[in-house]
Amino acid sequence: MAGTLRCSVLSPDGEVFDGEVSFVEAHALDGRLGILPGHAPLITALGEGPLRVTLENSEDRKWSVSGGFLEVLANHVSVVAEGLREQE
Amino acid sequence: MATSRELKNKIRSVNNTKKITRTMEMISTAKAVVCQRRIEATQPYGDKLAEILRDLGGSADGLSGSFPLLREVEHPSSEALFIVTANRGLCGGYNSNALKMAEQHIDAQAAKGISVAVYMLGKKGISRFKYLGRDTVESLTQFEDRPTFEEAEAVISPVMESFEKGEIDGLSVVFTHYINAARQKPVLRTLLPISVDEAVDDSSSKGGGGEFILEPSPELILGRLLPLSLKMQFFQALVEAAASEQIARRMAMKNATDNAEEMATKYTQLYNRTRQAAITQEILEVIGGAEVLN
Repeated sequence: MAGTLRCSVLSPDGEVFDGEVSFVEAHALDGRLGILPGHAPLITALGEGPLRVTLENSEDRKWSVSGGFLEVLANHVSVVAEGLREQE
Repeated sequence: MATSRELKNKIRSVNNTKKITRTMEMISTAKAVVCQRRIEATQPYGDKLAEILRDLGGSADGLSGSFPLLREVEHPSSEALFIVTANRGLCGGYNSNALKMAEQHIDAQAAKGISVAVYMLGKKGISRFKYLGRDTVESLTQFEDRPTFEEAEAVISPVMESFEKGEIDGLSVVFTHYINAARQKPVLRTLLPISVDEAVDDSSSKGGGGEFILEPSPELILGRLLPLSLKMQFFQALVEAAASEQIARRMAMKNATDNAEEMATKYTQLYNRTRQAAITQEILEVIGGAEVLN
């Protein structure tokens, strides 16, 4: 697995997370979706479900997301969530 | 000339007013900072949505016909108008400027035969329209200085639905646009119909969406993206209006405090002069009396 990718998580109230991560897992409309560094450009709609990012030190951060979008472009994942809540 | 007692009362009352206006100025200053921070916080979300919409542009060409939110009517007959005003006054021209613009727009539309359904936000606008005898469809007062996305969504969703059903042909919002900390001005922004140029055709700037994988389908993504970006625009309008309100109030209260200060100085001078005059008069009388005795 090569390097990291940048991930930013946005909610209408502001930026929730921005940083280098090694893995992003999201709940797309038609199932789970995992994104590793070097992913091809992608736009997808998100359903309701967990969003998990794995940081470089292999710690996890989780949110529960309802609706929104995920875009991958040039090793940069942007999650634009409609509803967002932090999970422990 | 006023007696020194009257002047003293006046000075006291002016000083009391000054205390209130200064406090309000400070409160508004603090609130304005919070509101400005919120504008900055919501910016990236709105920008990102616009960016995705742009990236999607290339792949979504020719789809625009199939979305009710992109529906454009050649001869619109009715539209909805949101007017964002404050619940409180004492903020200079903030409310009246926005209302003036809204009234002009309503009259202009009426002249074209378009009926405007007014959704009024804020007590000041509600009472103004009541006074003028203008109709409003709905009056909303729940928005204060911290509007939330959920609240904004709850208000705009039914209107979007009636647009999709074809009950109305357009949706605009009048609010006070926050340009920067020193400049705000009322603007009329058309939210619906979404102009296709803006939403879809603007793919030139960034390579277009041709190279994106679109999951599950461009139609589905666009179908979800359009309403979200619309709600976001409305939410941002509310956030900007809240910031503009606080800034307008701060300015108004600053002017009031300055004026009070000036008045207090003037009355204090006047008071001292009357006092001086009274003393001089008294001395003259004493001297006069003493001379008579000699």
